Amino acid sequence: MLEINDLHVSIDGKEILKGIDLTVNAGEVHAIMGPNGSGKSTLTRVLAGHPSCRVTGGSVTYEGKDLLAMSIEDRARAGVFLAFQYPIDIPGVNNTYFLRSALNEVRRSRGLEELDAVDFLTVLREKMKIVEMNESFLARPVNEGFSGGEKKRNEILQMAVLEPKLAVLDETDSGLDIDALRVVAGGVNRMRSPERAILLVTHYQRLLDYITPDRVHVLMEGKVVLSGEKELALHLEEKGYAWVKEP
Amino acid sequence: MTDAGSFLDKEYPYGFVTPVDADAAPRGLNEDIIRFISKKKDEPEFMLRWRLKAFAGWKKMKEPAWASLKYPPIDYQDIIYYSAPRSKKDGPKSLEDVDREILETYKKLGIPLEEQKRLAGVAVDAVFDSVSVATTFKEKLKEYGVIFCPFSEAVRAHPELIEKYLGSVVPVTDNYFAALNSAVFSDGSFCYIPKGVRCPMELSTYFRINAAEIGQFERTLIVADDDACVSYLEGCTAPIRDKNQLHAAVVELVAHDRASIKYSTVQNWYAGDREGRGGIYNFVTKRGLCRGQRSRISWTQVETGSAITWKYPGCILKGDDSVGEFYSVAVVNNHQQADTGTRMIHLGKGTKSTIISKGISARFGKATYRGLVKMLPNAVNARNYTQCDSLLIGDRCGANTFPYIEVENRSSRVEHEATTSRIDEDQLFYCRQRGMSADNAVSMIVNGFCKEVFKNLPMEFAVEASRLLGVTLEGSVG
Amino acid sequence: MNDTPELQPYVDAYEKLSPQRLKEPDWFRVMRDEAMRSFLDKGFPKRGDEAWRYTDLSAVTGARFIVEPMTSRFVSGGVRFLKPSLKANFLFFINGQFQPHISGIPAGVRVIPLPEAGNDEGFRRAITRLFTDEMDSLQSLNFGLGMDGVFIDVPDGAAPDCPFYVIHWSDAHGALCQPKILLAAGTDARVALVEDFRGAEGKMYFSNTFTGATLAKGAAVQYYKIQSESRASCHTAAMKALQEEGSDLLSVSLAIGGKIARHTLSVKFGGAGAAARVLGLSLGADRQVLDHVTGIDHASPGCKSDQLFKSILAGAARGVFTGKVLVRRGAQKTDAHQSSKNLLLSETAKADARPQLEILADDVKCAHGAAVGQLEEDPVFYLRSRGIGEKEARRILAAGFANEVTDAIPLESLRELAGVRTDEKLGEMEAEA
Repeated sequence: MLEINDLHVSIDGKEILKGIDLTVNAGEVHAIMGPNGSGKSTLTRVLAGHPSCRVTGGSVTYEGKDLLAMSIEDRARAGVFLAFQYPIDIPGVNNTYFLRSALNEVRRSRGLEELDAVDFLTVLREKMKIVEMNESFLARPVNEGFSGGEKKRNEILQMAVLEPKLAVLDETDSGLDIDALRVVAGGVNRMRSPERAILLVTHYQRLLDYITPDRVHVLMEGKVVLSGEKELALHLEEKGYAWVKEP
Repeated sequence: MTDAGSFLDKEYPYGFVTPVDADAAPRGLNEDIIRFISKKKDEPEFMLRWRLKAFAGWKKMKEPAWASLKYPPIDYQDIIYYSAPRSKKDGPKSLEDVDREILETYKKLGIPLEEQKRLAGVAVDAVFDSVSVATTFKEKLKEYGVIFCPFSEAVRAHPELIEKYLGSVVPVTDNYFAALNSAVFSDGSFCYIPKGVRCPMELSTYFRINAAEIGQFERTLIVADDDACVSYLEGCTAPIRDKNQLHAAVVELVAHDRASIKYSTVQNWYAGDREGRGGIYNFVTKRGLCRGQRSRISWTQVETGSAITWKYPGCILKGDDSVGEFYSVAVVNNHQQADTGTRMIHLGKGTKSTIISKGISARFGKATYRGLVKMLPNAVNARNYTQCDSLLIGDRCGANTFPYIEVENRSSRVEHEATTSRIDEDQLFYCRQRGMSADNAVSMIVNGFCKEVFKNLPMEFAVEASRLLGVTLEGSVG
Repeated sequence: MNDTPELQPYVDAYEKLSPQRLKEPDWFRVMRDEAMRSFLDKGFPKRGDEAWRYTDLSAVTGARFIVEPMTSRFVSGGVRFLKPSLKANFLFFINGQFQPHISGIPAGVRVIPLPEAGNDEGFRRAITRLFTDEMDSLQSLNFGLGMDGVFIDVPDGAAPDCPFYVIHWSDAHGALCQPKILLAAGTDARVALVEDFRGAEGKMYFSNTFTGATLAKGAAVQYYKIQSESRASCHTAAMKALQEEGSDLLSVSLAIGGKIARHTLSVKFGGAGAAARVLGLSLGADRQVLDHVTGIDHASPGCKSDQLFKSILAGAARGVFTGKVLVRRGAQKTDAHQSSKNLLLSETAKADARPQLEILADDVKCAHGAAVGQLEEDPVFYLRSRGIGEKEARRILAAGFANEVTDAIPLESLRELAGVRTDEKLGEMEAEA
C-alpha cells in the first residue's frame, strides 16, 4: 500500500530525513519509534503533504500512485489520514459542521452521495461511542478549549468517521492518562482491518501494550536504523535508545 | 483557478440588468434637478426648502480625503440623480401594478414580493433605482400601528413625523455625502413603531440599482417610540457594469425610552471585476440616536460588495443607560477597498457600547477599520469594549486599524484590542488533511473568524452572509 | 510659501544667522535651506491638523521667541549641581547651547560640537541619513535654525563603560532652544544615551529638539529621556532611530514637565532581524498636555517592535498617545505589538489614544491594545484591608502602574533616578486626584 524509497526531507534548509525506506502493506500495523528529534513527526507530516516539508530526494508510492505529487486534500480523499500530535484550534467552527464538511468532500471524491445533517448525525453518534465522547462536544468549536485528552479522542473520532485506508498516528499516546490511552487504543484497534494499514508513531512502548504491531522500526537521526517484530519495542523499553547505537 | 468569465458569473450572480422603460432626470446636478425630484415626489414645501438648504451647504463642502481610499475624482455633474421605472400611475398601489419585469427581478434576487410566497416573518420594501416599487405586509403592520412605507409616501402621508425626525440625527451638512444625499435623495424606507409595540415581523428594504450611470441616494428613517422594538434588514445588489456608480445613502435611527432597534445589513453591491473595473462606490452615513433612557441600537453589517465602501454606522448614546453595538464583517478581495468602522459617542450616564469588527483582505484588497469611542464628561460609569481583528490572505493585500479613543471622565472604562495576522497555515493544513479543498478550508476558517458577528444576524441573513463570504473569497488562495 | 506674519521672525532670524551659516560646508547649507523652506511652507501645526488633533500648539505659534543664544543666570559651571549622582559622561547644554568646557568626553569616542562637525565625514553621513522629507515642520525648524549640538561617534565594536548623560538646562525667558544630539553607533557597538531636560520654574521658553541615532549592524543602543522642563515651557522633541540588520534599540521616555510637551519617536528598520523596545510614561498634572507619538516603520523582514505607553493623569491634564506601526510590503515575519494604558485620577483629566496598525504584508503577528480607566477598586480594597490608608493605597497602586515602564531600565542607578522623579511627580499629583 505504501512504499517509501530513500526519502530525504528538509525543513527550513535543514535535512531532517536522510533516506527513509519503508514498506507497509494493507492489513498491517507498523510502529515507528525513536528518540526526540529523530524525524518521526516529519515523516508523518511529509506523508500528509505539509508545506514546510521539502522533499529533496526519494519517492513515496501509495496504492501505485506518486503520493508526493498529490495535493494535501487529494491525499486525504485517497484515504491518507494523519492524527496530529498537536491538533490545532479552529475558533468559531463547530465540530459537527467541520466533520460533516470533511466527510462529504471525501465521499464526493469517491463518487458517494453526500450525507445530510440527519444521516450524518446518526453516523457520528455511532462513532462517538467508540471514543466515549460526550454529546456536548458536538456544538463546540473544533479543538477550542479541549483538554489534551479530548483533542486526541477527537482525532480518533475523525479517523473513525472518515474511514481512511492509511492511518498515520503521530504520538497519539502522548499526554494521555491511562483511561484516555485505553479509549484511544481501543479506537485504533477497532480500525484494524485487512484493507487498512496503520502507522503508529510513538516515543514510548506503552501504547504497544494496547496495540500489537506487526512490525517495529527504530528511527534515529533521520534514518530507519533497525526493524523487527513487536519484541523489539520491549527491548527498547528496557535498554533505551542508546542501545541501538552500540556496535 | 477558473477563467475570468466563469469566475465572474460565479462570483456575482446578481449582475444582470432588467430591461425597464425608465423615467430619468437629465444628467447633472443643480437646483432645477432638485426641484424636479421634489416635484416628482409631490413633496410639501418644507421638503424642497430642506433639500435646497442641503444643496447650498454641499456646494461649500469638500469631498473628505482622510479615508484610506484611492479612487479617481468623481464627476458629480456626470451622474443621473433620478431614474424610475415608468409606470401607469404615480406609484404602484398594489403588486398588480408593479411591472412584471421588476417582480421577476426580485424573484431572481431571491426576494419574491408576493406575500404568500414570502417567509411569513418578513415585510419588504423594494427600492429599485430611485423609487420604492413595492412594500409588502403593509396592511398587517397597520393593525399594530406600525408604519412601514416608502419614504416618498411618508413625506405625503406623515409630514409631521418626517419634519420632526428627518435630519435630527444626521444634520443636512453633517458631511459631504450626507449633504449630497439630503439634497437629492429620491426614496427609501420610513418606519415608525408606536409606543409599546414589538414589531410583529422583521422589516426589510431591498435596494437594487438597475439603470446605468445613475446614482442611488436613498434615505431610511426608523423611529422606535417608548418601549417599542424592531429588527430591520437591508440588502443591496446591482448589475455588472464597467463604469463605477455612486451610492450615497443616509440612515437615521431614533430610539426613545427603552426602545430597541436592531439594524442588519448585508451589502453585496457589485464589487467590480478582478482587475478593479467598475463596481459601486458606497458612501453611506448611518447613525442612531439612543435618545431615551435604556434604549438600545445595534448595528450589524456584513460588507462583501462595492468597489469602495465608506461607512461608519454609529450611535449617539444620549439617554442614560443606553446601549450601542456594532458588529461588522468587511471582506475585500481583488481591488476592493473598504474604510469602515463606527462612532460611539457616550453622553449619558451608564451608557455601554460594544464593537466587534472583523476585516478580511485578500489579493489586492485593502480594509481599514476606523472607529471613534468618545466618553464625554457626563458619561459617568460608561463602558466600551472593542475588539478588531484583521485577517490577511496573500501578500499583496493590506489591513489598517485606526481606532480613536477619547476619554473625558475618569469613571469611564474603555478597552480596545486589535490583532492582525494571516490566515493560519496550520489551520488550512488541518482542514485540507481532512479532505477539504483550499477554497472550502479558507471559507470555513474565515466563517469561524466571523462567527461573533454572524450570530447577531437574523437566521436567514446569517446563512446568506456566510455563503457570500465563501463566494467572495473564492480563488483567494492558490 | 506661507506668508503668515507669525513666521516672519523666523525668516529674519535665518537671515541674521547667515554669517554663521556661511562657515558651514555647502552640503550643510543646502540642507538648512531646504529645511527652512519646508518649515516656512508648512508653518506651525494648526488646529485641525490630524497629527495635532489633541495637542494645541497655539501658545507657541502665537508667542515670539528669541532665536539668538541667550545667557544663563548661572555662570555655566553652576549647572553642575544638576548632575545626578551616577557614573556617566556628562554633556551640558544651557538654553540650547553646548558647554564643552564643563562636559566630560571619554577616550575612544569622538564627541564633536556641531559647529565644528561640518567637515566630519561620519557626521555628514549620519545627518544626511536622518534628514528626510518625512519630517514635520517642527523638525524642519530645528534643522533650519538650530545651530548647536553634538555628534557622538561610537566606533565599531566599542562599548563605553558608562552612559552619555546630556543635561539640557533652560532658564531664559523667551528662548528658543534647538539642540541636536546625533549618535552614530558602529557595528556591534553598545552605548547608552540619557537626555535629561530641566528648566527654571516659571520660565516660558520653547525647546524644540532633535535626537538622531544610527545603529549599524548588530549595534545596541539604549536611549533614555527624562523630561522635567519648566511648567511654563513648551517642549517638542523628535527622536529618530535608523536601525540596520540585527541592531537593537531600547527607548524609554518619561514626560513629567512642560506645559505642552510632545515626544515623537520614529524608528525605521532598514535591515532584517532588528528589534526595538519602546516605552513611555506621562505623568500629567494641572493643565499639562503630555503627548507621545511613535512611528515604527517595518521596512525590512523579520523585525520585532514592542511598545508600551502609559499615562497617569490628574488635575485637568491631558494625556495623548498616537502610535503607528507600518509594515511595508515584503516585511514578512514582522512581530509588532503596541499597548497604551491610561489611568485617570481626577474628574477633569482626559486621555486620548490612537494606536494604529497599517499592514501591507501578510506573514505578520501584529496586535495593539488600549485601555483607559481609573484605579481598580479591588486592589485598593485589598491594600486597605491590610491596614494601608486609602490615599496611600492609591499612591502605591499608581506607582506600581508607573513602575512597569521604569522597571524596563536595566541600568540600576538610572532606574532609581527615574523612580525618584516619578515619585516626586506622583506626590504632587496626589493633591489633584
